[in-house]
Amino acid sequence: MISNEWEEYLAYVGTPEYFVNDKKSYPFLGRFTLNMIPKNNGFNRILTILARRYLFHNADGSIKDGDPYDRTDYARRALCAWCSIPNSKKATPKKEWRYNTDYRALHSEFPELVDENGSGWYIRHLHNIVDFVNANRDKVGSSGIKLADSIKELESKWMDKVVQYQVPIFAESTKGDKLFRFDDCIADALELGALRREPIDLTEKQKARLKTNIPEDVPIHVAETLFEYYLANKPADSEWCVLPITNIEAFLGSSSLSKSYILLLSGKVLERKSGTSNVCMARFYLTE
Amino acid sequence: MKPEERLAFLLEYLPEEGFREYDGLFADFRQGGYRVFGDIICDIYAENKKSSKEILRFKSDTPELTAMLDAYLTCKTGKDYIEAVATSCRAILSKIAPCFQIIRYAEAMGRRDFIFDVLLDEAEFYLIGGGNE
Repeated sequence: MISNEWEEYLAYVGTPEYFVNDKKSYPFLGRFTLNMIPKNNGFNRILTILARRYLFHNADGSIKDGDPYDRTDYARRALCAWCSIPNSKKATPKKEWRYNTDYRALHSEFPELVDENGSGWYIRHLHNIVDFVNANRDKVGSSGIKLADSIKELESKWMDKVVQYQVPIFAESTKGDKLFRFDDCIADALELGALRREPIDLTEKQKARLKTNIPEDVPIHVAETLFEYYLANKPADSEWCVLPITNIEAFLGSSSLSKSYILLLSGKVLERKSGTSNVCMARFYLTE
Repeated sequence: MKPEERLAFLLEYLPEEGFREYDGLFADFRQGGYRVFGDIICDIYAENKKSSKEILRFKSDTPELTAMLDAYLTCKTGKDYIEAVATSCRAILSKIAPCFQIIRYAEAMGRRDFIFDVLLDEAEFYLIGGGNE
């Protein structure tokens, strides 16, 4: 269930199952979508989930002792490890003042996040996707093939992104008003606290009201997922909640949410404030 | 910054009473709220840097430069500011020597650009009006 954040964390560090049912679905992407990977969208939430795990939890999910504010450097190293991408063999050695992207040195501290060659979990997952697609080109849709064929470009973009993530939060030399960095997600993680391990269950009354009010074209599981996320993340002092549409689509395994479902649901069961197709603010009309 | 430290920080660095209504906003770190205060500071810093670059007058300016800058700043909208500054420059030069002599000094210094910007009348006389005969 989408409100089980520990489950979400496991999706970002475990071993995904690479399979395909038909040319229209892409389950081999794991908890990612075709929209996320080329444009590096939705990583705000992913990195925040990872930061929360290393700030607040032990490996078995139990809560750590001590002050999470004392573990910010540890969480930052974990993020570096997860994002690690090795330098090209032909690349000239980077100057000391340039940000590193190869964190093989963190393998002993985070063996589950980066291997001894400097490949972080994400870049290994990308390579596994490419290998799977190349081995099953007759079964995978054209968008998946296009993704696999552009792996060099994806790696280059990811390397730039990892450099960007390491820029300090108030660096004078950059116009950093819209950048997203490790410092941002660690700050968010400290505010959000430990990962939720008990999912939110909708009551029968809530499910019935949803079913009555949603348009016919919207699958009930989509509406229930959105509503479950809303109830789990709505602040106590506001009716409005930020919906990470990209990441909810990744959970659902379909990009139809941003393309049509959210538009159909607006005005029927929820109200949206202006946002992008990747994230918006919304409130549900029904909560009971 | 831990929640219990934020209000104390704001009271220390923004002690004026007028800022108290913003304590709730600046201390609320949810949904990226930790950036609000810092981003405002960075914006003010960037604005001040930009403003300082646009300052035309400095204490060390000579009276002559000040007079020409005044001519630029008081130039009416739609009027040629180069003409206004050139007129001020001519007025300053005329206190040193007549302009028909200044043009010769400028030519000797290889400053024909200055001649065409400031001493156009004299240049016209020497080039067209038979001044070289």
